Amino acid sequence: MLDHRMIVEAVTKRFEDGTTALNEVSLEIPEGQFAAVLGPSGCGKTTLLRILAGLEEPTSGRVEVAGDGRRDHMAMVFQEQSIFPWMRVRENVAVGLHGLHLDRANARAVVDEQLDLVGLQSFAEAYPHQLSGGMKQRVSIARAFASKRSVLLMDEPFAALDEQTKIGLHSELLRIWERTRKTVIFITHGIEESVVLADCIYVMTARPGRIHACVEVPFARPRDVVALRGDPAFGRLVVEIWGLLREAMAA
Amino acid sequence: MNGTWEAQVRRARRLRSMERMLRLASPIALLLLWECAVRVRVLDARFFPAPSSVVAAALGLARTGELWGDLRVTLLRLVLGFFAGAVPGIALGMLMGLSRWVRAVASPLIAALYPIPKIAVLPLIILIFGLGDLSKIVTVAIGVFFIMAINTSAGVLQIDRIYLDVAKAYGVRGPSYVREVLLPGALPSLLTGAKVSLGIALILVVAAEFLAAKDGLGYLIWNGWQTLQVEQMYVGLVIVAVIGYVVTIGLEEAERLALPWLPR
Ligand SMILES: Nc1ncnc2c1ncn2[C@@H]1O[C@H](COP(=O)(O)OP(=O)(O)OP(=O)(O)O)[C@@H](O)[C@H]1O
Ligand SMILES: [Mg+2]
Repeated sequence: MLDHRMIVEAVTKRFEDGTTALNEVSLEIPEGQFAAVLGPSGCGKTTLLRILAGLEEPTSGRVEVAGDGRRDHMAMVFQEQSIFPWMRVRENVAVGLHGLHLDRANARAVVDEQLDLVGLQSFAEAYPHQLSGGMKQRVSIARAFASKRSVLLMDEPFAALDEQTKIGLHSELLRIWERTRKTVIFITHGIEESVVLADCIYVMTARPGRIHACVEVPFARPRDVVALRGDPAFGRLVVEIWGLLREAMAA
Repeated sequence: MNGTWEAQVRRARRLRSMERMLRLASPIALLLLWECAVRVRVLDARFFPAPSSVVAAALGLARTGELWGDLRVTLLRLVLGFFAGAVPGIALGMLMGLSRWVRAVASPLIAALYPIPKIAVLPLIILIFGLGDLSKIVTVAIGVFFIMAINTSAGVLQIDRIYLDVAKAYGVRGPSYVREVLLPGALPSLLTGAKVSLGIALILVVAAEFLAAKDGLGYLIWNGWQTLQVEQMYVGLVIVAVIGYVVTIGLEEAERLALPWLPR
């Protein structure tokens, strides 16, 4: 069994144009944790995730992920439009199956199951230009889920979705997570969303991003994504994080 | 004012079929105009014989079998030359798109060699490959090769970075990377290259036949001119034009089928 803990040690990222996106960021995410990352726009959240995914090299510092750096245990949901325009929805989801060596029937079953989960079964044969922005984002979520990889890196995955769909996907994500205990890093601008989902919330400062605070979320699992919002402790935590974010902006 | 959905779809279809009709009708209209202009002597029949007399000359040439023979060799040279140039051109273009090192080596060479008129090196090509079919095929292939290499590498380079990141993140490598990401991503630009280079190929094959052949449509045109059989010259010219037209229309239809994912 691989150790799917992730360690980021004093990682700094300076781009070629001189922009420093991350400044000495350190965090350790234990295996099976659901971690959320909050922070102002442009503070380096995406950069941090790309470094973890191996799509970007840190300028200095160290990143430790399992699997000798091949990272075939990590699935990424990108912030921007990322599904291939030349593939049908079904084929796009099947991109997540690379390296799994499933036979045709099994692959089809996995893709159908994931499309069902994100409510796109009737669009399986459509091309991306026939979908809305939120539907495209759901395809890329289905692609990540289909991969069955044990670490999920999600960059504002639900940002483009309406509130009802979002809440539906929150409970699906939690259901999957509670069953499989994947390690999840979930970037978001939604404070409530992060409290509903995460075990632990990292708050980052404005650029160059540093970790300003780390908040434990005490609510028991399994959680009810709607009922939880009525809990007075939920409101207090949201307010506390709101305060931390304001501090982080000023820091 | 929008009407029902059915009405709108019908309207969109009607517009599309009208567009296709116009494509067919415009050359026919030109021919009719030409015929009339010769009949009323606005055009001099010695230089611009009427389409009807060109058709008569064509029928004569067809009856002797001369026309079919010339058409066959020209098409053969065109098709063989096109594939002989396109396949290595696409391969080099892919490699250039993939590797900055290949690009650094190949792009200055292409920039220098591409603008050399291929007809200017025909004497050299004939010296090496002889007076037969091979020298024409090579001339066409050289012209096609550069255009396909340039268009393919440009096509690969303009693939949005995010798609390369997705491929990397999900372990899409090797042959599946080429088949699922690079080729489809570069296909629009590749097909544009195919259209342009088929036009150039047609020009090259006819020009090469002008200068160094005893058959083919280029020879037919040249021979018609030298023996002052102007109608025969026009037969050759019109057939070349028809080939160009059919090839372009065919490729546009092929494009429609090959790129169902492009919004239109
Ligand atoms: N390739 C790059 N070259 C230069 N600068 C970059 C590059 N990528 C990101 N940056 C800069 O790094 C900073 C952090 O960018 P990043 O995308 O990580 O922000 P973010 O926290 O994800 O923001 P948002 O919440 O708006 O998505 C920004 O100032 C951005 O301009
Ligand atoms: Mg971002």
